[in-house]
Order: sequence, then structure tokens, then C-alpha cells
Amino acid sequence: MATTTDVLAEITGMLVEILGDEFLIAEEVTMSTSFNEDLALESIEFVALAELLYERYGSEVDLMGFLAEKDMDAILAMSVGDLVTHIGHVTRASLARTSQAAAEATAKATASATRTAG
Amino acid sequence: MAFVTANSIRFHVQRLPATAGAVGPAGPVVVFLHGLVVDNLSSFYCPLAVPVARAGHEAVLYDLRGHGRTERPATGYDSRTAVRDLIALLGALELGHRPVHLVGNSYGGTLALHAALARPDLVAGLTLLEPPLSGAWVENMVDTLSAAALSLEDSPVPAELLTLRLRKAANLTSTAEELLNRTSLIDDIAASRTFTAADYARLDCPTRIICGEHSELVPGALELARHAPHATIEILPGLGHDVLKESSGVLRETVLAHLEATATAAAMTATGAARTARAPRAGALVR
Repeated sequence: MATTTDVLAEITGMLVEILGDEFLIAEEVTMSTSFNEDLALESIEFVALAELLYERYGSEVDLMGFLAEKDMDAILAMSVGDLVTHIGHVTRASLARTSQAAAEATAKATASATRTAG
Repeated sequence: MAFVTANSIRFHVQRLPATAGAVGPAGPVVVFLHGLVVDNLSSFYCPLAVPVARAGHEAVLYDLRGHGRTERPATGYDSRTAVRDLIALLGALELGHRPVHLVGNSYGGTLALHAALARPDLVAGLTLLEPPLSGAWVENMVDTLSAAALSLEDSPVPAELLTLRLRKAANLTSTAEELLNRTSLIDDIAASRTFTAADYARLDCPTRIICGEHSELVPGALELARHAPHATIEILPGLGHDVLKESSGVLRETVLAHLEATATAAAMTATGAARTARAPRAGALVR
């Protein structure tokens, strides 16, 4: 299961990739780091981050749904932690759905096998 | 796939797939063209590209030659080359087999219009936000850019600006300085040809023009709306030139409605139910 620490480490790695390690070292990024105030992230750099997040998590994380409710100023006013929390919630919910579906399929197969045996 | 080489230039491209389960009709792919110098594809991202993808249309955004994260060659900032760049990029993205819908903001709108007139077979529809269309705009813009070029010439970005927090300002300054002083952009804009009423009259695709009430570009846009057979104009009250940033809600609704109408028209054309007269004409203009 993706933990907050895992997601923070992944997003930090993406930010270092986008900004370059001459500007940003991974240890500087925490949950409270702000995209605008602390990182001076440009809009186009956030778009690059969104692309990396999409590549990493795919449609599992409805990033566009999350972004659709915000304008770029609101997005850049967020902290790294806000994004980490959103992704953590979604991936946990998605894993829970997957586990539930698997459990239901197992129960169904068991019931079917029981009927066949009976 | 953030970078694609087309027409010998490495372009920064973002593709947003149509969101699964979206309700809108799967119409033409929507390609966005941004404005001049300090602009790049990110201006479209929140106000239009994400909503367009969520409404069921694939969105393609790219940084124009020399802008954003696209390569910055010394030459080729004229509209003819911009159209060639667009066509080559569509080919490289394997989108050249069916017409796309172009959304252009400011000078990107002018380029979108050039593209639709040069290659009507490739353009299913246009959405033009504040397109500068008059010769007076060209003169004013060349004066403004020339003054900016001079002021930037003797102020290279100081090394101390290149820290994390000041990087944004440094990037903005160096992009503008390079584009204005080290490329042919100003000369190419100065040499640009203005459109005629005859050009507008042969614009054969559904076109929606959106302007701010207080913008000086309204008269030129009205001229286009008057002469182009399938063009309509909407003037947003209380706004100036920057409709993309200032009116995202109203703008989004207007653009989505136009896209759905265009998609429906394209679907009807594809089934031969409408605009049957257009097909042979478009076919004859394929180059």
C-alpha cells in the first residue's frame, strides 16, 4: 500500500527531476513545502509534474478531476503535502476497491464450487 | 511523451486523453496554440485543456517554436513556418489523418486562422480567443517588443538570481531576452501579412471568436465575424485582452458548447448527412 512517506518521496523525486538538482535537493522538500512560496514553481513546471504523476499513477488517480476544481494560482498555492494527501487517499481507496473486488470474486467462486459440489 | 521532434524542432507537447466515461461526443482532437513571448502551453491547462479532456475530447497542447520548453532556433517565427510546424507536429503525433479543432489564444489565434486558411482539410473548427488581426496591432506589437528587446539587452540575468526562489523571474527574463534579441521573431512579426476580407470569406469551418469588451482587438475580430461565413463572435462584458485568465467559467462553457456543436457537425459530415457541398472543395485543397 502506498504510504504518505512513499508518495512524498516519489513526488520529491519528480520535483528534483523537473527543477534540476542544482536548484533543489530532496532533503529540502517536506509536506509543508509550498509550490509557489518555497519552490517558485512555474505553471509549466507544474504541468510537467502532472504529466509525471499521470505516468506513474495513470487513471487510478483522477488528477484531472482534482485539478478541474482549481485554477493555476490555487494549485501553486498548495503545499506538496496537499498533493501527497490527495494521491494517498485515492490510491488507498483504489487498493481497497481492488481488494474488495478480489474478495467478492473469491466468495462467488467458492459459492459456485459449493453449489457444483452439492 | 513530453518531447516530439517535428520540422527539425524539438517540441514540448502535452496530451490529455479524453477522460473515460465523459459525456461529450468524441469529436475532433482539440489542439491549443498559445500567445507570444512570455506565454506557453500552461496558460491553457486549467482554464480549458483539463475541462475539454474531461468533456470527452482529447486535448493536445504544445509550446510554439522558441517558447516554453520547446527548442529556440534563431529563425522561423513567421506564420508560414508556424503552420508548417503545426502540420509536421500533427503528423509526428499521428493526428494528421483527420481534421482537428484549433483553439488559439491571442497571437495563437492568428496562427490558427492562418492554418485553417492554408490547410482547410486539416482544420475541423476554430476557437479564437482575442486574435489580433489588424495591421495596427502588428505595428504596435513590433514597437512594444523592440522597446522590450532594448531594455533587456543590457540587463542579462545576474548569477545571483539563479537560486531556487528567484528562478521563476530569471527564466522569464532570459526567455524574453533570447526570443527578442537572439531570434528573428520581431522581424518576422513586422513582415507579417494582414488578412483581407477575401481571406475571411473563404474560411470554411465553424469558427467561434471570443473577445473582451474592453479589448482594442474587438474591431478586427468583428471584421472577421462579418466576412467569414461560419463565424460567430461573443464579447465578454467587463474584460480586456486576457480573457483566458480572467473569465475561465464563462469561457469554458462557451468553448465546450462550440466544441460539441463542431463535433456534432463533423459527425454529420462524416455520415454524409450534412455539408455535402464542402467535401469536394476540401478535397480539392489538399496539398
